[in-house]
Parts: sequence; structure tokens; C-alpha cells
Amino acid sequence: MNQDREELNILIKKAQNGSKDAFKEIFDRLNDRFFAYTFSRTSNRDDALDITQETFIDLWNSLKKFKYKSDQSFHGFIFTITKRKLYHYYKNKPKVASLDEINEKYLIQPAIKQDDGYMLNQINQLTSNDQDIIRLRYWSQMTFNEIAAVLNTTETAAKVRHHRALQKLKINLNKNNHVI
Amino acid sequence: MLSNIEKKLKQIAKVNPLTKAEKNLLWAKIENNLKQNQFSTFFNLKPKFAFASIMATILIIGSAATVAASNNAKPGDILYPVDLAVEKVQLAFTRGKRKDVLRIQFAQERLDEARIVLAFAESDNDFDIANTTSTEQRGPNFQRIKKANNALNVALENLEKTKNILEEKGNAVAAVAINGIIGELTELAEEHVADLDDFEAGIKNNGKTKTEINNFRNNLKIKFNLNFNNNNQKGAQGLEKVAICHIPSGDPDNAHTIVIARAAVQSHLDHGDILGPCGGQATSTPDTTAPNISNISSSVATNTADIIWNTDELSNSKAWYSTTTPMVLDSSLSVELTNLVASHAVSLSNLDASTTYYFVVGSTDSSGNQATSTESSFTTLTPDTTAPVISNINFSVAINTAEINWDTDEDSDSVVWYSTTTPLTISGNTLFVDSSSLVTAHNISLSGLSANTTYYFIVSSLDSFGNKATSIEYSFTTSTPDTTAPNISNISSSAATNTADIIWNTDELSNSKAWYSTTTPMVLDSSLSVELTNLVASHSVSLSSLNASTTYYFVVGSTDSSGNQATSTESSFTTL
Repeated sequence: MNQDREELNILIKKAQNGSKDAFKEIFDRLNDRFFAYTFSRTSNRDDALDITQETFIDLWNSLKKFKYKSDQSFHGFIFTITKRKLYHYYKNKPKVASLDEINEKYLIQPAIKQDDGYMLNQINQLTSNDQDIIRLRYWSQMTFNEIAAVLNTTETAAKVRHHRALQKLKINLNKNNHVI
Repeated sequence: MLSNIEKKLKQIAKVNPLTKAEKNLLWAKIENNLKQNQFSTFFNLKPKFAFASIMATILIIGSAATVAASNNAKPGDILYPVDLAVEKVQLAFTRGKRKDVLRIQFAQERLDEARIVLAFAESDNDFDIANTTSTEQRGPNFQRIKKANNALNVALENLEKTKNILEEKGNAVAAVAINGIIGELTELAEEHVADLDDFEAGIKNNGKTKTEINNFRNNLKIKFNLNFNNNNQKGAQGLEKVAICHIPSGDPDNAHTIVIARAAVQSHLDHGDILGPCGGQATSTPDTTAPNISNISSSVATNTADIIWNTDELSNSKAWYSTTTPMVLDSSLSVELTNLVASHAVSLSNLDASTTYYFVVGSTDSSGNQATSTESSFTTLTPDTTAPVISNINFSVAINTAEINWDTDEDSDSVVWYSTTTPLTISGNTLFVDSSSLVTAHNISLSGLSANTTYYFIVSSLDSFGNKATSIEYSFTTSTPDTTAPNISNISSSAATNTADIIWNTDELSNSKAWYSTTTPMVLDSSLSVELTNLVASHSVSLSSLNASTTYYFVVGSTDSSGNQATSTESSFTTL
């Protein structure tokens, strides 16, 4: 066993027993991935930070309900919490933001070029399942195995859905004469 | 190109990650909001440890959240000791008269807590347990009754302690207030005892449960000084008692007379009970025959004994007991149950171990005719001070799980402590799995283990007398996962006009999948496929809805139970 890097299941068990140090370690390992996902869904940094914060607080409070099966199942567990948070977030937000508004948001951030903003808009046009797959794959950098656990499907199905989502995205981009 | 999109997506996704400062701030905010509310795991720890760590939290962090959480704890809850401790701390920081006001306020809270627990215990216990026949089926309602009794006991203890303090201090006004609260609690206890009568009458064929209910009731009667040794239907507190005919809902044939506190009458009438004893309307010839007592027997434990007997008519149950013979009934200890039954069971508690007791049983029918038995005796058991003997420890391991078995020479519980470090020391942080059922053949499953890792474990068994046996340290090593993909061989295909069968072999059990396409080279992700999930070594997959006279390219794949996938190279067939 790798002594430097404790197994996630041990960390979870310690956290379940009330160890904040173990929970901090879990947070350190996963905050990037869950923030990136949340950020891509909210496109507002402060909101994404808030949701990430609430996700981890909720995770702590509901940790005792979690039964470890695999690392992936744990990611799935957190993802469920994140989704619930996002659901509440959207419920309290105006349903549709104008394209201008979205563009504006992206353009405020200097590192994102207009091109990229366009692509993000196109992603937002996909069905929410397709969006999820793409965001989990690229923003949360999950393996297909992990995505499968998170979306409660098989690895093969996750691969197929990913492939189809990308194809749809490509078709939409081509339709609009956008050259990648 | 797809890969361009992927590249682009990866690049966009990397923009604006969390900065170090943001992470630190984020964690600080999260940590601020983490409550120590992992009740379920505290439960698994030894209570003392849980209590100590909660107290540590309060004292060190002064976490308002814990105090708030514990403030709602009721007697029997895991946080209840904290609740009490918090009160003590609050008292310690309060001065003068305000202190006594606070004491009365806390006393009132004790009463309210007991009321809540009782309300839960009595909410739906009537008939769900009434049909219970075995110990296993006693279920949550029985547990709630247990908790309710505990709540009453704890509340009384606390109130009396408070009363003593106030009396010592000479605050008579406050002491009177507490007395009033104790009076209310006593009334609650009376109602609860009446409900227990009710409850016990509904239990069929379960001597053990009856005994325990009986113990609860007797305990309350002693503690609250209730209508104990006399049959005058007056509580010791002078509270008036009323006989009513209790008609269980849905079971009118089981109507029976119970005696309850005046305060509880309305609630009984509300659910359809009738004032006065059952059958009071029938005024035939007065019954002057005493019940006939038969089949007296006793079963003893270390500090308790159950006495059971039958009567040929419905009558109450009373047992006198003493360590001296011949017995003088008037000065002997006794236990009395007022409900009228034909099968009697009375539990004696607080007996001395290894002692011979003499007893007489008596039953009085509803017309007041009393029969008493002759003297009998029993001897209580000597307590078990021998720890269970553990033997035959063995285990079987898999990749992430292990099963540990052992035997003991007497019924005892099961705990396995485990760790990846040796020597294994048992502390509050040691991982463990336990089972509280008392058995001689023990079986504990560990899960969530790491693959190919040596674990050390100790098994431990505690008997019902609290004698513990602990094994020496053992170890096992979890299996290494299978990372070898199946080896695919002997691929062949036979095509018809619109269908084709593809068969192949693998050197280990695995599933079957075939991708097919009319174009080559194939792109598996976008090809049609057929998949069979059962694990076999000889694979056969049928493709259908094919076009006639068409060349199809195919690839077969098999994935073993550990998720290792093998795929073949491309082959082809042409439909007829």
C-alpha cells in the first residue's frame, strides 16, 4: 500500500469518525474537479465558489450515510450533492440568460477568447445529459469509469454518450460555419 | 475533426482554475461550518469515548452548534449527557437567584422531554406489537417503550437531585415548584404504567417480552411510589384511579379492564373505551368462587425470576416472595399486576444472586374472590464470570473484502478490530466491524479493504454478563486484482441472408460483445454492437437485421469480471 497517499476509503472512514484532517485531505484532492464542473455550470465564479463550499459542507453532514464501494462511487455521491445544489441555484435564478449576457460573462474573463465563448455557448445548447458528460470529462477530468459511476451507467454507455455528445457539438459548430 | 474538439475542450476547461488563495479561503469557510454531528459513528464507539470527545469539542471550540444540537436531546439520546453537562456549565456561570430560576426552567424541560419520549412510545404501540410472538419481532416499538421508561427514570432522578439541592439551600419556593413538576411526572408515569398493562395484555405467547415489560412497570412503580402493594385503586400520591373497559381498536373481542389515572380517562374515552370495568352491565348471580390456581412454575436468572401460573377464570396476578420460610405474606415483598388474565406471569427483580427465595402466588377475580397458592421456592443463578473461549478463527479473503469466522463456547457478541499496522492497538480510531447479536458461531465481513494489502486483526466477544474474550493478533493479505485480459481465440463466423453468428473462445470467463460495420477500418465507438453480459468461455453472438449480400467487418471483445477487456482484430463475413 502506498503510505504517502492514503487510500480514499480510509480517509472517508476517518472523516466519518469525525476527523476534519481527513476531510481536509478529501477536499484537497477533489476541490479542483468539483469546482471546475460547478464553474462550467454556473459561469459565475462567486456562485461556483459558494456552491462548492456548500457541497463540501453537505458532504460532511451526509458522510455517515455513505457506504464505500469504490472511489468512483464516492465521486458519484459528491456529484449527487453538487447537482442538488445546482438545482437549487437554478431554481433561484432567472431561467434563461441572453446570449449577450453569457458572452459578456465569458468576455469579462480575459483568458477566455471570443472563440471559446462561442464554443461554450454551443455546449450550453446541448441537452443537459450531453452537457454533463462533456463537463465531467473535460472540466472534472474524469475517466469514463468515473463518469459511469457518477451517471449511474456502464463505462461503455458513458463512452458512447460522450462520443455522441461530441459529434453533436461538432455538427452544431459546423452548421454555424465555425471552424475548429 | 473530433480530436480537435477534444483538444479545444481540454484547453477551455483549464482556464481559470481555483487559485491557492481561493482554496484556502474556501476551506476556511467550509471548516467553519463543519459540525461534529456524526451521531451514528459516535454510537459505534464506546459511549464514554463519544461523550469525552463531544465534551472536548464544547470545551475547546465552544461550538454553539453542538450545544444547540444537544439542547434538543431527550433522555436516552446519545447527546443527552451533553445536554445535562451544558446545563451544569450554564449553572456554574450564573449567580444568585437567577440560578434557581434556571434550575426550575431545566426541570420543566426534563418533564417536557419525558412527555415527548412517552408520546412517541405510545403513539402506535398498541397493536403492531400486540401480535408479536417472538423476541426477534419485538421491533422498534418495544425499543421505544424501553426508551420511554428510561426517560421517566432519568427525568425523575434529575428532578429529585435538583429538589435536594434546592432544599439544602433552603429555597422553599423553588422546591415547591419542583415538587409540582415531579407530581406531573408521576402522573405521566402512572399513565405509562397503565399503558404498559395494556400493552402487556396484547402480547401473545412471548414470555420474555412480557417479563421485560413487567420489569419496566415494576421499576416505575417502585421509583414513583405508585399503587404498589395494595389494591385500593388509589395512587400513593392520592391521585384518583379509574377503572375503564379498554377496547383495542380492530380487536373488540380482546376488551379488558384497566385501571388508569383520572387524567388519562379522556384520551381513552376518545378512542372508544367505556367507563367502568368490562362486562359491568351484566348483573347476574354474584361470583363467589375463587379462581383455581394451577401449573405454577418459575424460571430464574441471576438477579431476576419469572413466576408463571394459570387460573380457570380471569383474575389479577400477585406474587409474594421472601428469603425466609415459612413466609408471612403481610410482611413479604410482593409484585402485583392489576390486569385480569388467565395466564399469569410476574417478574421479580433486584434479587440477590445464588439465593433461595420462597414465594406464594395469588389471584383475585373481578368479584374480589382471592386464591393463594402454597409456598414454593427457587434459587437464583450464580453469575457467570467466565469469559467466552474463542476457537476456530479462520478467514477468507477477496480483493477488497474479507470474511472472518470464529466460534465461542457461549453466546456472545462479535467484534473484529483491524488495521494495516502492527501491533494492532485498540483505540477510538481503530477500524472495526461488530455485530451485537449473541451467537456461538461468529461471522463478520470486512469491506472497503485495499487490494494486495496485509491487514492485522483481533476478534473479540463479550457475553451477556460482560465477560470479554479477545484473541491474539492475526493477519491476512487481500488478493491482488486480476489485471490480465482474457485471451481470445478460434474466432469464426457463419452468415445467412440477414443474420450471422460469430463464435469465439476465451481462456477465462468473460462477457461477449461483437461490433460490426460495413466500413473498414472500423471505429468501435460508432459501430453497431451486440453484447451479452453472462460470463462464459465459449462465446456466441448472433447479429440480425443485416443486409443481404453485404460484406460486414466485425471485432469481438470479452471483458472479465475484473473489468479487463480484450478485443480481436478486424475480421469480415459476407451475407448470402
